[in-house]
Amino acid sequence: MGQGRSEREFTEFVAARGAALGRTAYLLTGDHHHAEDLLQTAFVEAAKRWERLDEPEAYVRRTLYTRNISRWRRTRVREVELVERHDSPTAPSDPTLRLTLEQALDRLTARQRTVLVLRYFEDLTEVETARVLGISPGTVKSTNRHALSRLRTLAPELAELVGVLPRGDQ
Amino acid sequence: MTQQLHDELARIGDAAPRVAPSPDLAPDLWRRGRRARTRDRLVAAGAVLALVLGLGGLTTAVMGGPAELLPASPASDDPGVPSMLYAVPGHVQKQDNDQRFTGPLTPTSELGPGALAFVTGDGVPVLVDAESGEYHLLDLPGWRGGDVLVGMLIDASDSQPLAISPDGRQLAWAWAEPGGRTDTATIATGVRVLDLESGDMRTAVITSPGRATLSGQGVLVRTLAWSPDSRWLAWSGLTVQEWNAGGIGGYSPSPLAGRIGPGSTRPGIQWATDRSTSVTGTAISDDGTLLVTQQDGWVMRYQATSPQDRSFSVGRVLNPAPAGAVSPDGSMLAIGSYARETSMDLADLEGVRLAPRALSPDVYPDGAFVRPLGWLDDDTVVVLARTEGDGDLGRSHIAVMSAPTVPEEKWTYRIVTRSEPTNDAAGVASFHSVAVDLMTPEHLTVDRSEPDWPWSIERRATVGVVSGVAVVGVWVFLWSRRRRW
Repeated sequence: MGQGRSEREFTEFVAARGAALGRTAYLLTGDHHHAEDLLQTAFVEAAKRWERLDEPEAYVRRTLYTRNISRWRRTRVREVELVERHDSPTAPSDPTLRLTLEQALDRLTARQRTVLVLRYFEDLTEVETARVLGISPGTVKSTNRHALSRLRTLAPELAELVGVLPRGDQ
Repeated sequence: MTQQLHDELARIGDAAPRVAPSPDLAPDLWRRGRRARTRDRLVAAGAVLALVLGLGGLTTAVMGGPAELLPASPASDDPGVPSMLYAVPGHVQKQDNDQRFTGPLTPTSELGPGALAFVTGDGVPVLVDAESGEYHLLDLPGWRGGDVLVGMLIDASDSQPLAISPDGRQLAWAWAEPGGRTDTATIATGVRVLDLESGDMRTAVITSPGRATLSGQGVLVRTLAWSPDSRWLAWSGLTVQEWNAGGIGGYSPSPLAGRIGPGSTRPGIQWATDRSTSVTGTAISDDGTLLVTQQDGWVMRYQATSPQDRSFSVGRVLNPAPAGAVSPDGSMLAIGSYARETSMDLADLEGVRLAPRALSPDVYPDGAFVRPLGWLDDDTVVVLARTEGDGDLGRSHIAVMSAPTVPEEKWTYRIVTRSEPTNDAAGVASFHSVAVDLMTPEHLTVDRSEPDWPWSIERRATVGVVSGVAVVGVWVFLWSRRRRW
């Protein structure tokens, strides 16, 4: 039995946009396996309602964001304990800035990390971020501010990178 | 800072191991998504159904359910005998402290022609409406079928004095009105006949002849049988020498039987002797000929035209059934058996001989309890058959079978009405009486829906709780799908 039109379109979409969306998934989770799970979940969700999707990539991205937060909620007790245990400046184990930022991102909550990825990697505005995540722009602003403040606390050497509040926060 | 942070994040993403699914994985993702879609639709449909049922259940639980029996939804409006008999749930048969059934009962004035009458395991008489299939639980005046004291003398699974006429228009039952615990007077007993169309009731008072009163003497009527034309009614019973609210006993084995003529209120006691045997069953023909089966096995016949004519025997059978049935032409008497047999006893009244009819070994390899209910025509008997043990009356069924007058190579046997299997002993019918005139060779039975019984308290509570959980579950389900944070 050959592929139907919808399935063919879906397969082409996965092949074309899988890598880019995979990067976003990795940035959101900070873990390769979690990212794979998250991305596959988002693709399955897209397949469920493929015929009704006007912008499949936007839907998959939105699913990545919200599902990542849901995943974090399911394991937040454990993660809160980690945050409390490590919520103090730590010396970077790797001298490169990238690894330090990656380590620091690991210590943010999923909500904070997601807001940072949307604001600074996806380049969404506060309003766009708020709409995607289904929260108010004020919540996006405060979450973003807390996330950056925490990065400075966790990794003082990132002060130059995150030292200035992003646009709209001043 | 913004661009620098963006670049750093992009580099982190670029340096990460490849996360994108392989091309081979895309079809699998597609299939998983479509299966999930199907599953979601089923869940959504189930949730809606649960919500609807839940709201219905809550409404019923809050409102207390229907106040009385709702009519069964008829699959046909034509009068007929139902093809399925349903057990009356035990919780429906409510009793007060005086063992009187309190409902939901149908007043006798609101009844119509019936297709079938039976008595539940708890002794409640039930009439099945001929046209609607509705089950009417009855509070018949003087009915003692559920009386504990009566149960001490009569095995309810053996016989019950309740009989619907073959045309379905009259319902007869035995009645008695025992007095207080210290009453010693002769009590009123007899047979009552209700015209189901007009609501008129006639009462025949039966007084035991020639017996000294000890304490509440009366006649306990055990069996009733209609003539094929629904005009004559035969009865049999025994004299009870002590019967009041405090006890029952001292009954005489003296046989006692009689016939009540068309429209009559006279008991027509035909036979009362001191012989040390008792009447086990009766039947009556269109001309009023009374047929009596005795416990010693003799089948006796008494002509209506000569009340003083002594009986003569047509043969001797073992374990005769409580009520027989005479064929419309008066030539055959279907007797049946009180025990499991491999044949059904019939009597050739013209040839004055017994004519047993063998049961099919394919249908009844171990024999069956077979009791006559009436005749479809002069060559076809309607019977109630049961193959299981005494405690499993719910497996009984109504069947039609050829009489011995039909050549054996043309014999037929067909089960036409089945009983709903049930473990509710209170609901199992212990006795059946059928309006056989509603059965024709072309339309033996009609299909009826199961009665919509009022819910029990336990069921209301269970459904209420389940409904609440279902409603909350659906609400949580919908709420969780909408929630993003």
